[in-house]
Amino acid sequence: MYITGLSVSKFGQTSLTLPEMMFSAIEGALKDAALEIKDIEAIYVSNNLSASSNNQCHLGAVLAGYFPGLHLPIFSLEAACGGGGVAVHQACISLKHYQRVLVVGGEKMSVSPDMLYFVAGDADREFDQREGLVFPAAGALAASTYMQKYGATMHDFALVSYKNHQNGNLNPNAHFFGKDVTMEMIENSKVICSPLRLFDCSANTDGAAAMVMERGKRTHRSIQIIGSAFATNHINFAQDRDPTDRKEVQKAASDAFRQANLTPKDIQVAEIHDGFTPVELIMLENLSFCGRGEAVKWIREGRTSRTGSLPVNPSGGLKACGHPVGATGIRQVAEIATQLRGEAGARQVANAQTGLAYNFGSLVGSAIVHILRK
Amino acid sequence: MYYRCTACQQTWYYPIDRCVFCHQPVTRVTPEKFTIRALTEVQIPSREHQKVPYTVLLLEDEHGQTHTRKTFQSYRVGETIEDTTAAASQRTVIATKIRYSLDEAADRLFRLMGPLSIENKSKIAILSSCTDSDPALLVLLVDHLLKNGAQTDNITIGERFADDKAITKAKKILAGHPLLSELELVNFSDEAHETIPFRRSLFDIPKRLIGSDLLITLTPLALQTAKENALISSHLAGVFPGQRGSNLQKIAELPFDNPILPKLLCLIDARVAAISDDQDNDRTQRTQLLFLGRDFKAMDKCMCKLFDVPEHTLLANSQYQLAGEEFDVIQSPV
Repeated sequence: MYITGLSVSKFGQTSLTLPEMMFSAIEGALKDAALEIKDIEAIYVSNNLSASSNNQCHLGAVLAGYFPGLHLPIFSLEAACGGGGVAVHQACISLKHYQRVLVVGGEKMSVSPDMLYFVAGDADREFDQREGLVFPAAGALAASTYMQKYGATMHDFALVSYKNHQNGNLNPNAHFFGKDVTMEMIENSKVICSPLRLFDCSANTDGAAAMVMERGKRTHRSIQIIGSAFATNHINFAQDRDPTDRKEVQKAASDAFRQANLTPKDIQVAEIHDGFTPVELIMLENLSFCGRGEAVKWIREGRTSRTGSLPVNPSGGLKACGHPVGATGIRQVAEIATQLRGEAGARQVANAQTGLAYNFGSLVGSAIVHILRK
Repeated sequence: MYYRCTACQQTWYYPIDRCVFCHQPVTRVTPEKFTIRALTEVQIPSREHQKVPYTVLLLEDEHGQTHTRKTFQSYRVGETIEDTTAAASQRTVIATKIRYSLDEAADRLFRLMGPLSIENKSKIAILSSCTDSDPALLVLLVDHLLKNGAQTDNITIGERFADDKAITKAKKILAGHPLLSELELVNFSDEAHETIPFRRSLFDIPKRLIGSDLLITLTPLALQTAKENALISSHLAGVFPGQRGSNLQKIAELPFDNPILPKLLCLIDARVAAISDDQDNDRTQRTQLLFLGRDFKAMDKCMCKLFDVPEHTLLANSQYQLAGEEFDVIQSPV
């Protein structure tokens, strides 16, 4: 399985509609792959919020309107924030049947001031939503648990935010590109859900990403997917006794590493879903890059910076790129592919041969791991 | 509440009858003691949680399972919260949220109410409207009464404001549920009444109600008019179907040493509340709540809080203590 074309839109508020954003990303991916839409056999579409926030469902058929007469099979997938990762995983599976497919994800989040409510729909209706557990609150409970268990501090989370904003400032497609975010700004930002502050939370944004995926290698720019794994868990936040011990993440990582015949030590760059800053640390541990509680030391020592031993979120992550829910998982894989191609420009990680993208849906629920090789 | 396999100890938070792995029966676990493991104070309002700040607690129960709970009270990590019988007071109003099971919510409501002191020969009258109420809740109520010692022969269902057509329909509904089919159904409007003077008013009360040991009103929540804001659940309007020279105010002024109020239990099904505003525009609101209490004025005061409407002056001196779960003020229409 190879990624042969990719495109990520500029993340941020846009006047484009969701179908326009997605179509633009598709055109970009096809151009990058030097292909035409008639070369594509199937499309996998990821979106989370269009039905609730914009009353537009059936996006597969919506996109079909851009390709009259082709009658492509277009599959819609939804797995909360993990929809993009699930779409890539499903595309990988489909390449046993098809020669060449396309994945696209997009979200239009500037469409409604009620987005916190719509996104909350990704949590359990009765156990989480009715108890006021909006996603920043879930992230805050995980953060508090992590702080109690391992002695992490708010300064450690601020270091994650600062690192990702520094990276995002080098990524022209990032929501925060060109915006200097200082430690002082981060540590003095407004408390959203204690202890998390505004700059501990990823930003709602508009954006789309697309990739062409093929069964065989076609050009020297093709990047191989050597591991693709997806694991689920119950959706209600509290059912697991420890929100920092994520069995579904451990399972997906273990499966992906086994498929790739690699260990975490072999990974040279990673995109790790950082919807909230403590989550980057918690997931570093659950993905087995380090032991429990050790990610605190990693961030303090700069090991996850762009020039560290394992650069994490060189794109800026969700924190600085923004988090257009349905697009994020595809953007993460596309970023790793871009890094392995050596085409990441100012944010390029040196000599990366293998990389990992980790995407999840809800704070628990769906975990998707992809491992890529140059 | 949650469910645990008796054989493999696997746990579910959704209601389930049998273990999906070993197919053994599951038991319902009802935790009663919770320790606060973490908490967060939420500062950002959202459509369903407009009043901020509020706190979400991450609780660990005595069996090691964790839960989340919203509160407006102040807590510290490490504190414990007991969820045990709290309804010793006449003025207590118990609220429970229905999550995935009406059965669970009703069970919790009755557990928090504590024993009902029902004796073998206790006469129980349930004042309901079978045609307007969910028979499932009536089944749960009757089941609870029977488990507490009530005899089927001594339970009467009283249809409110019923004509012959409604009674026929109600009989059909009761016949459809094995637990209800044996119960006597009466139309209190047709029953013999006794006129009782209270202060300067006369009240016609069905004799059967005066002779009951326990009188339970089961009502779907209907906020009649936000304009009046008085006795909005109107529990007693059906108890006093033919009162002369009376009105809600007079009912509200009833002294407690009368034949009815001391044996009253009010169960409000507030899953979907019907509300009429000042202009008589009707709307419905999903709250997914059940309420139980002995003092109808305390319950009405609680309903005023639920709907964020000013209390009628009649309720000013009434006090209540909330047990069970905190609930949000309903602010937005459906």
